[in-house]
Amino acid sequence: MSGPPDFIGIGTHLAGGLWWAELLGDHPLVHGPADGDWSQDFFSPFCARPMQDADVAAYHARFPRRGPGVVGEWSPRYLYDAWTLPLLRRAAPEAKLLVLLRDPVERYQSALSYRLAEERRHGKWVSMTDVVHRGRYASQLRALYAFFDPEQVLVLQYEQCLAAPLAQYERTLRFLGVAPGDPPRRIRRLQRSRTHPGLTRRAVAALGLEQSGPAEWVRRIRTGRARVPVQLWPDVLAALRTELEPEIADLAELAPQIDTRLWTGFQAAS
Amino acid sequence: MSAQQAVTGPPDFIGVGAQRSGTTWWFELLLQHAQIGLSRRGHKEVHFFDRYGAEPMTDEDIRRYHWMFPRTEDGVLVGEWTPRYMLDPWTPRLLQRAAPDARLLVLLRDPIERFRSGVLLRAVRTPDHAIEVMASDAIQRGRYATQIRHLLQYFDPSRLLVLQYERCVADPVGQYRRTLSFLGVADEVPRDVTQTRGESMEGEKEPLWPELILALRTVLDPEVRELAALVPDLDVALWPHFADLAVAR
Repeated sequence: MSGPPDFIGIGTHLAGGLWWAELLGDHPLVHGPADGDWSQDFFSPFCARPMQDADVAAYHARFPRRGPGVVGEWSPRYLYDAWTLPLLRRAAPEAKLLVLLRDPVERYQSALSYRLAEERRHGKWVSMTDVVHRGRYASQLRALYAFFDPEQVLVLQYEQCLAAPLAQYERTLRFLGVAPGDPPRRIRRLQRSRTHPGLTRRAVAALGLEQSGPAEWVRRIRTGRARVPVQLWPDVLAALRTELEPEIADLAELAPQIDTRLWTGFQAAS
Repeated sequence: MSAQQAVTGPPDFIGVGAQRSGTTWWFELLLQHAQIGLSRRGHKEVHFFDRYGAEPMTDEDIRRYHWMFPRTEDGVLVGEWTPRYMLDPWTPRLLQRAAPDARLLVLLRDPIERFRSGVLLRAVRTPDHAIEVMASDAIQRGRYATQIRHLLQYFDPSRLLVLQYERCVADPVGQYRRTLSFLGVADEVPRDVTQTRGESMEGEKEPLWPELILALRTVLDPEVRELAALVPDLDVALWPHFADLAVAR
């Protein structure tokens, strides 16, 4: 039997959404889509054609109920792709929605490091415009609340998830209606490393590898994909501030649980 | 004096937006004026500032930008029109550094019509393209108020002319003369300007559907409202998808 997902992570890009989804998936009562890919990106084509009832049925078929618990997905584009919001309401009106936000200046640094590395490898031209636009969190939440009750939405903060992973993990599970129970091993390990950060953990943080495990650290360091964040320069910091300051100010009203003091990159830019 | 020997400097005018709003048509009409010339690049769009979201712009880069605008004859203005300048958040500040005295031109169009023209038509013609990337980009390009507000942080309002595509179509001569006056050149209207551009030049329009219009309006209504306050002579009633906002004003 299948049906609409119980929960959908809808944002945001480069804010740890898939990392968080995988951690949630470690819980025995939290399940991902049938094909094992957390990120379904189902609604992309419907910017160019209407979504039909058959499409909705095809979406539901991706979420079979195999037993007790909740089933969902996490596609970071959904919040940014404005046409998706009314479609989500039609395809999964009761779903609980998860949003994970991150310091927009650090998101920019992270995206720039990644894209510059891609440019070196593939000669791709580096465009950063969408990265700034994806940082318009308040505008995106305002649009979301035009289609969903804010009670249906949990807005998480990447920095809080890193600083207190167990508490934020349990908060997320309770929002999804799942009893937290014993935390899975990865969450316990992450929580321990927060409480007693060793030299390795500090090095891992400096290289921007906090969302991955030891095997992934070795692979990325070997392939040169461990990235020391690029230092931003005054013109681009000023542009980010001009563009995003009104958005950050609006967030205080729309998502009071977000502690923007933790966004040190943005505070420094300001 | 040849272009190679000419004095160079910042452009006199820069068109900064918006994509799929008739900027090519309007720029070509401007080039028919005897006192308006092109950059060394040889076409409308220089795209000089696009890359500076990924690296700092140096003084040497600014000199390279100035080199593109030779002055070969007295009284001839040179400029360019790159519609994405208004979109890229880092560009207004760089424009102020590279061309602080330039006059800026913006040509706007009903943002939902822009979406239809840029995305739906493209989806039909090139169905394999990552259309969602283009669609979200098109929506962001329709955030005119945010972009104009950003420009006005770096340029005095007297240096910015906001034109409206629908008005240029309806009254090309009047709007052309308005553009000439803003640029400070002689009030001479070439014959081509009097030939009205029809909406039909884009061919058949792809249909829109209610859910899409609802989503676009949810995002763009606040922008259009703010734009009407920022640009008081904007006639929102000319934008078919937002005409009700004009009534509400």
